[in-house]
Amino acid sequence: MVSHNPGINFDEKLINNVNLNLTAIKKRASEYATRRTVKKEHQVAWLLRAITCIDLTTLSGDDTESNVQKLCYKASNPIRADLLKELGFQPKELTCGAVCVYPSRVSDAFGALSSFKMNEKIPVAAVATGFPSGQYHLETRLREIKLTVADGASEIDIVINRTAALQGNWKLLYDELKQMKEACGNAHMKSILAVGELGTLENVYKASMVAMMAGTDFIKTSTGKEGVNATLVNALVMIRALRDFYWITGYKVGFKPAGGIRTAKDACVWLTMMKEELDEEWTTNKLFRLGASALLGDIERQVYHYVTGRYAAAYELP
Amino acid sequence: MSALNPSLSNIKKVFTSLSYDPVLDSDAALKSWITAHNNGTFAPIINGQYHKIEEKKCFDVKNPFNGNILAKLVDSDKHLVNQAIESSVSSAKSWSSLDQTDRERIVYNMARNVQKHLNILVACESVCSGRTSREVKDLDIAQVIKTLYYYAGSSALLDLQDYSPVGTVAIFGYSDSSLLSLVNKLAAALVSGNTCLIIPHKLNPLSAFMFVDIAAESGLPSGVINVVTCQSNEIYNLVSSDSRIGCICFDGKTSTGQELIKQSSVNPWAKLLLCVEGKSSMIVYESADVDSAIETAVDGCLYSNGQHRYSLNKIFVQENIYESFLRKLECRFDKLRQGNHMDKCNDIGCLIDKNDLDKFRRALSEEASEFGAKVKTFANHAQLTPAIIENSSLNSQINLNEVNGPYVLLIPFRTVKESVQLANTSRFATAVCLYSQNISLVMEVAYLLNQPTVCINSFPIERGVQTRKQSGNYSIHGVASVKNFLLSKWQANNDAPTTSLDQVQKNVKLFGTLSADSAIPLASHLTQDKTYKLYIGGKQQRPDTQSSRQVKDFAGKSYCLVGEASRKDVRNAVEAANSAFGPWSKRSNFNKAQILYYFAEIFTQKSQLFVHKLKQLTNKSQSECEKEIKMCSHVINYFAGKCDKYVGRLNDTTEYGYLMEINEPLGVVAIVGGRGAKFSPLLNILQHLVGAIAHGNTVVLVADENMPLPSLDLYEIFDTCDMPAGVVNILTGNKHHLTKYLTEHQLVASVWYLYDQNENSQMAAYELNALQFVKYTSNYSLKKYWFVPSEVQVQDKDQTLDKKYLNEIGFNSTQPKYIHLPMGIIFAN
Repeated sequence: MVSHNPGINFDEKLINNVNLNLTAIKKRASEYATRRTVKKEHQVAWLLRAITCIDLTTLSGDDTESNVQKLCYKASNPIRADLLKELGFQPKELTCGAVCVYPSRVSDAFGALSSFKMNEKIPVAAVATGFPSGQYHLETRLREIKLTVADGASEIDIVINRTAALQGNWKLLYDELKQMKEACGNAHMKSILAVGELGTLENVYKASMVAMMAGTDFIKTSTGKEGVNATLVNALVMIRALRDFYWITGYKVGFKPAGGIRTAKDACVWLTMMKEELDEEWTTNKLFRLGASALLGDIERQVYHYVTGRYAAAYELP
Repeated sequence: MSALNPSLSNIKKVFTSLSYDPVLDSDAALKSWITAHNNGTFAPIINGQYHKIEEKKCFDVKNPFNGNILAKLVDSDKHLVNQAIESSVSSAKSWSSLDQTDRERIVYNMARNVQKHLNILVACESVCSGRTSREVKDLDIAQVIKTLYYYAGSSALLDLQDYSPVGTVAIFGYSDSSLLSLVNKLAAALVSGNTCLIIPHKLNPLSAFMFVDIAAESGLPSGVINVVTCQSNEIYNLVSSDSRIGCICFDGKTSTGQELIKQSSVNPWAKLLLCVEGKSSMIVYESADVDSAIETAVDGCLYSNGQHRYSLNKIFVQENIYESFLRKLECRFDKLRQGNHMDKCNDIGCLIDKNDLDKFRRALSEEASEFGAKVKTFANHAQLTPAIIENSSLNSQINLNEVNGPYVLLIPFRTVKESVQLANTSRFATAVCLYSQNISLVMEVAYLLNQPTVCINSFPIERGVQTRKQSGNYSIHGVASVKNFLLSKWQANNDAPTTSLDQVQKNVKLFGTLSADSAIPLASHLTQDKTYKLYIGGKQQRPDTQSSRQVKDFAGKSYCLVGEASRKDVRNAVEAANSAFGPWSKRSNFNKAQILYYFAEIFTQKSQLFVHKLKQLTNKSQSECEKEIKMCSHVINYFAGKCDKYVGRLNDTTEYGYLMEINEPLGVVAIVGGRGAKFSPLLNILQHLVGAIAHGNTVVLVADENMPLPSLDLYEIFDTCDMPAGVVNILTGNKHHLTKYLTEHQLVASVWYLYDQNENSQMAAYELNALQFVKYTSNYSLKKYWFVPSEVQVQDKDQTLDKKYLNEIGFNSTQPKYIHLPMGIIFAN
């Protein structure tokens, strides 16, 4: 379902001479919402498209089997069936991109999805490698990947070693990521850069490049636990890295912003950004995921409004 | 429950394709506003009233995208224009006698009311101009509001005490960014006490009418703004040749601007503010954030659909990143959408003038077919296709900035030095954008560029207009922008001359031709037996004519002989001054000060010599002569001290970062001296001369034709005071003859003509003739000029030097350069 990036040898040239101007990037990032817009049926169609890109997520210390089961149900039935029908979609025709949980909840999620017979359609993604800080021994981080894959996760969201990035030890980062990729086996690897902790946009770009060289299948902005998470500014830097890597190697790597994406309007802006900066393929869940939990509820409210012409009460949308 | 919109198949289609759909901004409110105006017919506004529409001829205003007629405008005749001018002139007195704060209050109300009517103003400006409503809203109207607020507080900018308003300001409307262009001038003119006559552009007049409605709502007295519309270009001549107009503002084509200068040259005191042609450019260095540079390039190229003087049309790219820049730019251009400018999803609207569209298309195809350039167009199904041009020929129309439309020329360069040279080689000067993360690089390049605006890693389009060289003489920022509409108290209250334009044109042709009797070389006895020469390039040189002219003292007695300079001496002097300019202006200001202090020292040592000479020539008393020479010492010392205290300032900006304002020298300044009615032949000339060089200019001085001494004696001091050769050049000869060739020399940046005020009508006509010539002739390349009475300005009370006037000299010796320097790197931890 998702793309596969074999990676390339570590090439320092790709991370030398990185020049980024924050002010100019901020300006561009602020323009997607004002220069393209979708209304009415286009808007609702775009929102349905966004749903297919959502990695519906729960990452809390108090996660248990029951709330994971509910999450999986919602991922399988993101919009109330009667509303969906009005838009011309069959039940289960439209699902989220994946569910995303902690490693120890993977078997719960896999079990739940299997019970709805959705385990073929909706992959289970799990964070790993000492999420969110990554401040653990490499050995345990690698082991965690293997155990998680064994539990049924087919997508692994690993966190990168920020210490290596901040110290400019890009080769070390590359080597670690290579090993992680290997540990993932057939599972797809998403690399969480934790951009809020990288200090400069240059580091965001370099970390993106190193992750892609090492064979990551997606680059992901953040864990959702840092002070700054998915903003259009740092996303734009990562997207430019995606484009540069594609032009150099011919491999398309996916992108996953995560943390702080809550409104339907946001979802449209993110899709616009992917469409304008990259291409159509990069707006499908093969190459684009939105890491979010509250977003889906807002989209469902917008869909309700489109179908009924009324604003929904919270109790109408379970 | 059923869907409001049953287009289910469309939803599924869009779900798969993720396509856009037109999202049109509403113009319903605009339409009802138009209809409310006499059912869509706009008459001139004279004295607060819409003029009665009788059987007047009307013309249509159309939506440039679809050609739909939006409104009708009255085609005003001579009579109506005269009425409007009359009303403006007669309202000027009461308006200027209001307290400045009262005027500011009204401008403040305008700012608030524009905010209240934002949407309809955006629709109005956008519909008529063909520019995308998004751009008009985000850039123009936002700036209109800021501008109004800025001038609402103008009393903090300049003390009006030393100035008086010019009277009535005529503002000719601009076609594509009409409201912003109008408000930039209008707001500054109004707060400084002038009334305004607006002549909206015939293609885009409605926003001016809407603004006048808003102004009335804001409490502006009637008659302070009058509006006339006219279809034919005759109105340019009608208004600009009217001697009741104190200042003419024009935004548009160079040829029209040049015509206005000629028309208005009858009245040399009428000011002219021009923003004419030119386009901005961009330099991208290998140390640049290339992707961001691409975005700026696209914004700049598409700004005003490529019609504005700030629209970007040249990109100089360092050769080693050229290929990647080109690929990225093409990729970005591929995403552009053109069409209805009211559609929020469109990046490009349409050109306002249909002729421009034909010209654009023709120029693109010629560029390829005749000049061999590589032209790639995008969005090819569209009416107006953006284009990227490579290998452009240096002499094509497109390269000379004469074509409107969304295109960029890509020009590779090798070194930083070459980039500066390429960017400076243009008749026009508006703005340059520099892309590099290297602060040392951008600051040096910003310093070296001969452009009024330099933007570092950003683009100037939000911030108003500065023009230099053949793009105009307009500055939107700071003190200069208000001074545009004021006369200083040092400029005498001159009545408008009664010469006809024909007369002026005839005089211009004959002006400055040497007649045989202009110099009578043979004298019986000379008081002073000394060989004076010209002073050119640090050397005393004989005049090219190998002839002399006689200097007479106050009593008409032959005093000595000086050289009779002519065209070739002017040429040599200007060339010497020009080659001295670069090194002189680049010297540290500390060093310039040292040289001037040394100059002052030697001058003071020799002061008795000057006193003696002054006395012989003018018959003034010993004490008067001593006083003048003492004041000369003061002036030199004052300017020596000012050298390192006038570098510029930081201006406020709403962005995170700085807006630097650098006071730059003009270049070669030609000073044509007079002797003054009170015979202060030295001090008068010296203060202008030293002021000009202290601020980094080099000078060609024409000593007064009748009394060239003792200014000519100064060269002996320049020879000994370490003044570099060529910084000061002194010519003697016929005033008109030398003025002619100085004004006609393209390397002369500004002509300062010090005119003698004379009761004698023949002498007055002689000087007026020269002023009219200088103004008329300046049209060729929009040369700067400054007309000042050759009278020494002293403070009334204690008869000491008027420092404010010395500062006025400083102001006229420099031109501002604005460097936008946004900052920021921290975005997270």
